[in-house]
Amino acid sequence: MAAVSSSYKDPNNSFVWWIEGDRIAIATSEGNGSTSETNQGKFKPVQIGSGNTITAGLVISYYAEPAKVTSIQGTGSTIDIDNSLQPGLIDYVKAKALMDAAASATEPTLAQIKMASAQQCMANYKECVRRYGMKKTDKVGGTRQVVPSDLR
Amino acid sequence: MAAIEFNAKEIYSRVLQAVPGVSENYVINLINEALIDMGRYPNQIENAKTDLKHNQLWYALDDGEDITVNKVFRCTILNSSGEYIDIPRLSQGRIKQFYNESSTSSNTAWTEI
Repeated sequence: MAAVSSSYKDPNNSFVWWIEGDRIAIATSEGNGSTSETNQGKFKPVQIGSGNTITAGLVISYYAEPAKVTSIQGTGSTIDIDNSLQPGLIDYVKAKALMDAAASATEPTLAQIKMASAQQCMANYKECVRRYGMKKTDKVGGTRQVVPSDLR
Repeated sequence: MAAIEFNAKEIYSRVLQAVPGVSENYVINLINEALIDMGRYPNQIENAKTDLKHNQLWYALDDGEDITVNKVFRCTILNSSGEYIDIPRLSQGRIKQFYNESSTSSNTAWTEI
């Protein structure tokens, strides 16, 4: 397997991508695949010579799932989300813990109090993440100003 | 440095105030549950690269990969000048010839950038 340099001048004109299930397809109209449906101008996989690769030839940008927490402290204890959303995460954990505690409480009044606290925490979480999540992590924050047009 | 930057231990101590006696493992599980829920919203944007291979149409994005993708929104290809050029998405999601080039997790090695 040999690494070759990219010879594509403007991939925007000849490449396409799409998603099918849990895989991404990259097709190009450049190069010749030697069949009637894979010759020059028809979409086909990248043609760069058998066994060849273009190192780091493909870069994707995506919405990612935060990395898993594996331990309570040290390596693996870092929370992989923006700081502004971390209070929301605490609310979620508290809400779920309180719900479980309410379910196992033997005294009905205590269970009711815990359930009410859980609902409040869950409401805080929803507001933090679902309602304002994107605004909070948006780095173009700050007050907005409307400049009226000059009618003179 | 941010004013607050929690790790799991700090979250655990906060939860203990509300629910005394919960175990560390239980809280770690709840933190991960919260992270999965938060991942459904477009809060976390990442980029990853891989090699373009001859005659390979499919590149795997499943959970077995080194990256966890919820939704791809941009795809770029390296050009001859060393620049990454945005390429369009094929809206109907298919080409005329069907290829059976496999896309198993073993033949896509993503590196987060």
